Amino acid sequence: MAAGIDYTYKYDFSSGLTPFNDQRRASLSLATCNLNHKNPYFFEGKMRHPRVIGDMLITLSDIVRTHYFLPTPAILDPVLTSNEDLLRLEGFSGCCGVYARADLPAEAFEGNSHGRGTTNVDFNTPMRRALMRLREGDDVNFSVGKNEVVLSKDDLKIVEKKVKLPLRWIKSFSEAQAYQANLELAMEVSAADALRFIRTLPKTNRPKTPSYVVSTGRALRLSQRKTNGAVKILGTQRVKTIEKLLPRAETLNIWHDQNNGTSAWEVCFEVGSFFLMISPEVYRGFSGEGQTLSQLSTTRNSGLISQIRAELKWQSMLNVEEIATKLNTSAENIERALAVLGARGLAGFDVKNGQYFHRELPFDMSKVEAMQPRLRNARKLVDSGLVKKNASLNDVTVYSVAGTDISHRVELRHHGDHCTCQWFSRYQGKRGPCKHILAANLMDELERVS
Amino acid sequence: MNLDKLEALIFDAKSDYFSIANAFEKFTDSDRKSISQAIQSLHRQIFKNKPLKSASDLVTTSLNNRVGAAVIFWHHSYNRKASLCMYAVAPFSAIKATDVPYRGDHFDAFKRIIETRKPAWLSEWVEWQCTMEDPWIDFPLVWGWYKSGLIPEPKYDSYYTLFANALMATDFYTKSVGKPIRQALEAEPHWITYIPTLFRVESNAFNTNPWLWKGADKDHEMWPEALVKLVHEGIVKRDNLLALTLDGLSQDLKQNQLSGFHKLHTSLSPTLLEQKKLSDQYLDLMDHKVGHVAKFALKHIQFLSKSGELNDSAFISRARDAFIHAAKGNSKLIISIIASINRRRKKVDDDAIMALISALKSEHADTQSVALDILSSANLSSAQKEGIVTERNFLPPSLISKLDNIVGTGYVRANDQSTIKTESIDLNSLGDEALRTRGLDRFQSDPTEIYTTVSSDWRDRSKLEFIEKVEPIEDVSTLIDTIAKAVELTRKPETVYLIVDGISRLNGYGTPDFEAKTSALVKRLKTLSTDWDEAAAHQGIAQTRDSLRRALLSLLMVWLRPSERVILPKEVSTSLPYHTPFIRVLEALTKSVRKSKCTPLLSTPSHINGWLDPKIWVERINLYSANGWEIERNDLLTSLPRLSPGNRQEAYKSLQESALRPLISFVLGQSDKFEAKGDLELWMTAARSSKPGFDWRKSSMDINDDSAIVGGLSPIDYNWSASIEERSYSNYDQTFRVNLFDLNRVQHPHLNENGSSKTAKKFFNKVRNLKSPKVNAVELPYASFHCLKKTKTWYGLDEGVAWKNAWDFTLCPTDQVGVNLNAALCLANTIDEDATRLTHKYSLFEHLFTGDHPWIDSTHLMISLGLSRKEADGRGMAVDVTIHGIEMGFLDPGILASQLIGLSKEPWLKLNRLSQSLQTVSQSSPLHAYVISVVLQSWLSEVNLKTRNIFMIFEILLNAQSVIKQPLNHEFRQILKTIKGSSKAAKLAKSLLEFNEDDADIRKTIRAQAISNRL
Repeated sequence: MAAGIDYTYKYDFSSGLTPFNDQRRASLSLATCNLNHKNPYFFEGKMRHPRVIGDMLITLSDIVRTHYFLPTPAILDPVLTSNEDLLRLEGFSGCCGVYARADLPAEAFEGNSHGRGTTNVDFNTPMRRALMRLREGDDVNFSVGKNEVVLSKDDLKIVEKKVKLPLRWIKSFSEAQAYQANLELAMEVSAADALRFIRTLPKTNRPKTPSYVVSTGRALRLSQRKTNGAVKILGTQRVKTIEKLLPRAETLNIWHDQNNGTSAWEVCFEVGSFFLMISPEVYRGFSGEGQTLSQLSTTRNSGLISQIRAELKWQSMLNVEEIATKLNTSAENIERALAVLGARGLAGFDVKNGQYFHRELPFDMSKVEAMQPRLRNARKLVDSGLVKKNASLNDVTVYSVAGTDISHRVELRHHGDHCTCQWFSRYQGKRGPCKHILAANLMDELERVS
Repeated sequence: MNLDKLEALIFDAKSDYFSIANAFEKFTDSDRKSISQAIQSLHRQIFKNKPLKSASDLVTTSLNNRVGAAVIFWHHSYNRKASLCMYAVAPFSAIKATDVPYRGDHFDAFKRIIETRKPAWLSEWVEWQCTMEDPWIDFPLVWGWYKSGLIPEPKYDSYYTLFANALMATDFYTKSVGKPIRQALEAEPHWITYIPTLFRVESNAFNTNPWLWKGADKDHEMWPEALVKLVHEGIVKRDNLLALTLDGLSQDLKQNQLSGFHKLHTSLSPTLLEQKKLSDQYLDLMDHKVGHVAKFALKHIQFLSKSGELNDSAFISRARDAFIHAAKGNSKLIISIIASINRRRKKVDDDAIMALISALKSEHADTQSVALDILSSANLSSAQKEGIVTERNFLPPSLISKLDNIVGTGYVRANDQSTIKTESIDLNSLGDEALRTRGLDRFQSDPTEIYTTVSSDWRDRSKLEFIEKVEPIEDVSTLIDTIAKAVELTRKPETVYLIVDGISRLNGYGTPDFEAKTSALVKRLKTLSTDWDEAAAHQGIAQTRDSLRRALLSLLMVWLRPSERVILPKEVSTSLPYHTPFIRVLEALTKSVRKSKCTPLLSTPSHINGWLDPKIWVERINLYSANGWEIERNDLLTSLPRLSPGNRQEAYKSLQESALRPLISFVLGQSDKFEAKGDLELWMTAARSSKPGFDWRKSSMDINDDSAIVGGLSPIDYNWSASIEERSYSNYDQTFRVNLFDLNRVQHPHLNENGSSKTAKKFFNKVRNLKSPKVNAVELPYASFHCLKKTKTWYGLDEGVAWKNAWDFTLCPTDQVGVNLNAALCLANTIDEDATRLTHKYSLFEHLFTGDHPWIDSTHLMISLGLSRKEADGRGMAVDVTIHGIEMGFLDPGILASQLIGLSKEPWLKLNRLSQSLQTVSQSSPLHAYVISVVLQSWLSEVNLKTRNIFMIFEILLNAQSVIKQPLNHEFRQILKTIKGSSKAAKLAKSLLEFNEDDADIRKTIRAQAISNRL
């Protein structure tokens, strides 16, 4: 069984929708809870596009409840971040190979935000059913957190959901930020063309090897051949999840990282957007990728990181230039430090704006960092004295790191580290550094400090 | 009772489980707490069968004496007794890791322990057990504990699942309550309050799987029949049950359970009044994501509509959302209800128009077509027309004209390729040769030409200027890295050549830290050489299970550790005959590496797809001559089929002194003198390389006629057939239809296999068993390629190696017929297979993108089979290669049609798959639509038009015709006129005949597209 931590979602009430009255007027209330089991009150307003918001929330809920390769239902609740500009709801599929985020800007509502912060929100089956009944033109009130809850008595009971929160689910939050920062816009198509393409994706008998989305004119097509600019996807069923969003959308932006095969599918509405990012392979969750291990392992820039942390106030966009000027350092240093904060669950990345945003995950991230197996093993290697420096020539430093029965040769280079182990040979660094490279880096840093 | 006595009880074979229960009978909580740690430790020792140093002699001796199977079985008496002790004293955290007693005395003793101890954690433990995927506890036990006050009444879902399953269960699988459901409910009326949960939680209550009845008594009841009877008896209210079934349908439950809900609802036969009361719930279900639930709701809605009891506006408002994801049947049902509402209203109201416009977003052309038909009869406002136009991109081409007729204006499809300007393409600026090789000469001479294929002369197609070069590995470090990567993952077939070539050139050169850099690699290779499963799990060079793998691994190990002697296990499967020449090269190289006497390989390809530039080849021969090295015969033999047709003359000019001059002169086309005195096999291979399609028996040379082995001096000749055979097997009454694909090598009629001449005997001794995989083909590489061995799909693990499938095509680039046919046979034999890790057939098509060979009949056969495959990867790649082939002019519509005709003489092809593939190709551009239209017209002219699913092909043709707006050919029109009746194919044929357009602008667009792609 996957490692996890016992966690209790404790809500003051069940999220839900009041029944429609004769004028098709209703209220949708989302229950909140944070790490300390407090129930923040963030927002109250009226939905301008109830059906679109309903579709986005159902799709997010579908993803969070789906495991894309095992019949194991997940019962985890999404994470919501609130500020004056935006409500963001984020979550991962049970397999952690799909990241989904619904961005609801202030224009999507008539009303004002009352708070800033990050919280879990209760998603339950009756609420999902109610969301499906929303229609454009309905008069629907929307509230996040408890003020004056208008739900029926049955929904007003305190809800406690005890879950084994898989560690990989939390780890994925930090890994996903590292991936998003490397995404590039590959294609932009109309929602109609996007829907036609998504409908061609096979429901059964899906390709087992990577497929590529290619653009022919304005239309998209699935190809099995890798070509320049094509977007790699493996597990087409994961992309098919956005099908129900497209009929009411305006455009679809497709982002990708050609180096590691991640792709992201951003469904843009008149107001708001839905962002879905899939891992390079169905069986590879974001949690195991190790893109953030280098950042987590380093203690460099700890002073700067603390300074930046003091600047975080749930901004929906963190302006790197502004922070750099304020802290009297380069934008590059700020970017690097924000990547570290992202790895620690203190910042998310918004691809569309190309900026980080502040949110503090409602989980104890120190446990996560301590349980990164590769990093933990690397530290063990260093602590046991199994990492030896062999030579240092020009820009290459060679370390000898003990493996099982043999010794691995690690070369730390400016243009990319190298190891002789099987993991490195197979992935060539695309899934983050191996434990030997991490150990050599840790040792190198220790030597520099000393 | 102390620990010693407990140990004595546990390890006493004569003591039973109750003795353990009795031992704890009088324990107080504090007694239990004091002994708990010791019991937990003992439990761990017993389950691990490892006594601690501090353990008593009894424990140590008993566990040490326990050997064999007894150690690993959890139900060994020691283990079971230790578990009982845990339940008697341990806290909940430890209990979670303890096995639950199952049945018999062990279980009864466990119950007594629990009932005596009354642990505080019992309720929590029961809930934890219930939520497990396969709980060890059952409903009677939990109910019993609740009744006896040991636990409060459970309220969680998994408890109700236990309840539902237990009341309906037979004793065959689980412990049931033991009575028919109604009697059980009569005996325990409290359970009636549980009935609503049946419609809320996942259970077997409404499943219809036959195994649920296994071992059932005559009076056994399942939930649906019990509930209906309870309604009749007035115990359950009918209204409540009807509402519950609909509530259940809106839950996130498995489809078979949902099916059970609506079946129960239907079996209650709700009256019109009842249905009217439930109409809002039916409406909520009409856009259910599960098709059969939506269909059920729509049937009731249709009934209400016919009865005049439907809230029309509410239905139409919901219909707008329902169309988007509805299955074909359901969306047609929605439209028919809207149509009936329109009839009742005697007009098409605005709300109905909006719903019908939404129907244009449906993914089903039939639905869109019917919606357009109704819209055409409506009085549309300009805003509504605008609304219709915005949905235009959702329609297939065949419906565009219908839409245009409704809105009254024509719109140009934004995504067509009409922006290509024909004026900008000046063909005269290209030379004659460039025009010919690109197939543009006809375009130049005939301004009305739309599509022609490129030159089919292999000399034109195989020019090295079109083919990517392979860059050799320059240093030992790169070679080590390349090997390490290739061992884990090999994608390109050239990697194998690069590694082998690198070893042949760099052997003897060192690199600092060679040992350190390669120790991990050596360890990995040793593992892979013996662990087949580990090797098979990776797509690396060690994944094959044949002689090639053995030869490759031997070479790598010898190069990495010349002093070590590694014994490699024998291969599992036999290599394909045409791998043998390369394996011989590897074996010779391995010997040279061991002796440290390596020379650079002559046969290493200089370009991708296995091509070798003759100039480079001659340079290598010169190097051999200059250094006095001896050319390895197999290396020379393997190099001959790789020689590119280009640069042969220039290469010959650069040849220095060589004993091989006569052979080199002959193979490079500088001499026709066939001097087969010394090494006949080498000369025959040179003859095939020199003129691959030429029948050397017809030459004026003095060649013994008997030596004209197929693939020897004459080119391959073959035929194939696709048929269906009815077979019956003695064990079964039924007959089975088996798809057969036979591929036969044509023997030359004049040739006697027992030929009298010495030469003929020599050859036939070697090649007469061509159908056998044991053939020694090393002497005649071309003949070995023509060995039509049936693919070994049943244990053909090697065929699952993607790189090797592609690598096969690099062995003999000068003649691809044999390897194409092997690929076709392989594709035919696996055409209905699902995708697995072992069927990487997609790689069979990869080399075709280069276009370095003319697409001959066998290429088109491969593509036809690929387009009809079941597994998506191979089919997808066949679609890609077809699209590419049309763009570049490689694909010949006539040849493709002829292969499809051959494959569809009997209903051998699955037309649904083929139609999907052709549809994708056709949709790529007007050029693709045109070529597919040409192919389909030729094919359909020869095929039985009553074949199942033939209408799917007609649909593609109709869509293609709607895009290209070109007339059908006269012969095909005549055939279409013969199709009578009201079948879908007949209707489509009629629509096709109505097409009389001839759009000159689109012709220009297609022509421009065909030309620009090739420039």
